[in-house]
Amino acid sequence: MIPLHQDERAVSITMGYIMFSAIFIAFFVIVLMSADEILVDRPSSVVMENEFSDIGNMMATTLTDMYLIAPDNGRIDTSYTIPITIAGEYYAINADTATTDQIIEIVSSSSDRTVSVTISGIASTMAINGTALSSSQIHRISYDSRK
Amino acid sequence: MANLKDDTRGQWILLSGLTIAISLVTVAVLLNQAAVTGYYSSNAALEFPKEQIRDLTTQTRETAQSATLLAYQLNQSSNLSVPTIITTLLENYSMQTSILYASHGETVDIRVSNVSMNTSNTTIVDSIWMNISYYDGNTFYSSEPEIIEVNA
Amino acid sequence: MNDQAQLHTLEGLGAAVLVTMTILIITQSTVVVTPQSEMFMQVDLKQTASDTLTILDVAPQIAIQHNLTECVASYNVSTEATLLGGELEILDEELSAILADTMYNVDLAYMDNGNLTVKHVVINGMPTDNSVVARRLVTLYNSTVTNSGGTWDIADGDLLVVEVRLTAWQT
Repeated sequence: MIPLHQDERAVSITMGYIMFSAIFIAFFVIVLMSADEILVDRPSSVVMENEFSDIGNMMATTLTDMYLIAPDNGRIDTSYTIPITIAGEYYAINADTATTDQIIEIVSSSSDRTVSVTISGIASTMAINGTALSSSQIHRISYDSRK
Repeated sequence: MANLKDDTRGQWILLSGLTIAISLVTVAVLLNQAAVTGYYSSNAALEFPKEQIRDLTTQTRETAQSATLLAYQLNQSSNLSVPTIITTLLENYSMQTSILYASHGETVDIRVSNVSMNTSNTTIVDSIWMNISYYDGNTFYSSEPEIIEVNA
Repeated sequence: MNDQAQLHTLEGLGAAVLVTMTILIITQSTVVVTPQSEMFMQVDLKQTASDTLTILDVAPQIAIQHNLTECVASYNVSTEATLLGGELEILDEELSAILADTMYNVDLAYMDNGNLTVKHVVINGMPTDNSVVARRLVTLYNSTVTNSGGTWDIADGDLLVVEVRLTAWQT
């Protein structure tokens, strides 16, 4: 038997070069074509899903806390801060369907992504409405028992 | 310097240098990508002064009730009327509470607005009306009036 | 000058650029989402600390022998806790039963002749950066102090508001 590493028959350096080049080019083309789908859409939707539910939970927490301490005669007023963009997109916090559906929606204004959080039936005893746009960082929630 | 490009020694050192450089770049890229979640919801729960406001109202209610009982006692040995004693006690309570809350950056104002007497027995206090307001820079709360039933 | 295998050198360079580019693009695409677990724990601890003070203050006599107001009323104003020995041992015992795995300090703040005074009554150590503070007011009268055997100086027709500050942190 001839030792393998000394056997140089059936070896073409040019063929090997072409094959390796082809594999690398094919790999690169595949990555490049799916780049937008895998590298931009999926990560940004993961980020938006997480951050939107974070904002939604903040709203639900604040509303529940306000509901718990709301005075019989009087008012309560609180401010909160939100980021202007999430994953590069503007969004709105929408509480217009809170009374009927018991949810608060966080809606992206450029894509159709929406995250809803429940507010555990608070809206049936305390009317909640309003929309906050992310173009400004500071917003307020007000409650007045006389209105 | 003439031998620099012909010198093929120390290749392992060069390779390890390259590997470390690439891994450092990778780590830096990953760290920059880290997205923070859970900040806003936790922050809202931490910052909203729910416990402070709740403590303020429950304590005011408790104090109004105990001050009324004390006022009946003091009225026996004094020529001041029960409502006057209650108002003095609660004003003192309000002053001390405001200073205690001011020491951690919160403005509190508690005032007695009305001491309402029982219609059939005018020596008994039925309820005390108090105005409570609280402000910590972000959250404003006011209960005007907080009606406290003291005729247990 | 060695000018052999120039194409091989270029090939090697090209391959290196391709591999590096691919690795870079792929690593950039991964999203690492870090949850703020430290803050979650702080929220939880703050809730527990406030609840502890509330429970101690409102619990009925059958559930707890000395409530928060009685504990505070029994305080000897002229003493103050050190790291070695705490004052108000009843309060310390009651707190340690509820806050089992938590470290805490207790301070009392009150107005003394128009000055805000803070007295340490339980010291368990130095609070860490992640500590939380829960506060609760108690109102003392001459009668409550006499019943509990404290040394607060309150006139017969007067009241004193004491703020109990509970600083809690996880070890």
